[in-house]
Amino acid sequence: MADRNIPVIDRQKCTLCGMRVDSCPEDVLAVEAGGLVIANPGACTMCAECESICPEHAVSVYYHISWADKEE
Amino acid sequence: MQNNWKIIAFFEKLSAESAQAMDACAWQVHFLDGDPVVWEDDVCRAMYFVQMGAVEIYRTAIDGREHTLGVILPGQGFNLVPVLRKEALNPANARCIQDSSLLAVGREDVQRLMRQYPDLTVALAEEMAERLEMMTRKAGALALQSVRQRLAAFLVNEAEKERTETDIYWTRDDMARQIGTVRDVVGRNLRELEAEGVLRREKGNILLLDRERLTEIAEGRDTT
Repeated sequence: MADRNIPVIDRQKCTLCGMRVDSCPEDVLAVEAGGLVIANPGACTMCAECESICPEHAVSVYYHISWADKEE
Repeated sequence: MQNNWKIIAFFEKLSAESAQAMDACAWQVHFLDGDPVVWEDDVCRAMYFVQMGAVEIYRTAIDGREHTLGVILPGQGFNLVPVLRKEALNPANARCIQDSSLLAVGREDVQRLMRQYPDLTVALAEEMAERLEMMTRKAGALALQSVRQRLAAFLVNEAEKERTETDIYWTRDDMARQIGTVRDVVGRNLRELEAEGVLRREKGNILLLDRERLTEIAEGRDTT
């Protein structure tokens, strides 16, 4: 299963338009070896800006939904 | 029994005799996350029960938009309706949203066993009655409820599910497909709910903070 703690990039959908790289406030994304990659996963806050801006729906940010009182 | 039916709820309704007969016809199939199981409008070959993992049932519009009809979790089955029809087609697509193990029973076997074992027929009828009720509620929600209400109901429903090894993770696209809208509208509604203090988004988590308020919104008692 893909790691759900960082954004998941579908390289088949990605057109490398570059918008995602610029959109990330934490500079997590980069284009390397001809593909969009999570270059700095530790810095990712899962803010989902990259997902929001991608017109091709090539970036997915996953959330688990739960009651806060069960988590804390 | 050659297959592990322990967690399949439907199987508990059957007599030992019909359970044995079902077991003899069933086969196990394994899929990876993202693998399709059946395609809509293909000839229906079998019904399936989820042993492990999760399967999304969805339909696709002509413009490519998808609408999720349900997520089938361990213990539950799908493709139960078309197996009862002659020359039936799969009514929807099914794809695994986790690595999954399924038990399959062929359509012709199901029809043959139904003639032999009335308790199997009754169990299938009960399953279908439940599905019909669920689809009626879903159609009502799509026609009568706002996106905000449907999203609140989805969040409450999802958070209420018992934690298992097969916790489901959702993108905003997934949520949009569940409640019949698009990603941006889900995002806007999540932001509004967060601004109202009803939920909080943290890295990889949507934490629901205000049970009373969310339930109020989900039940249509929202005055905002």
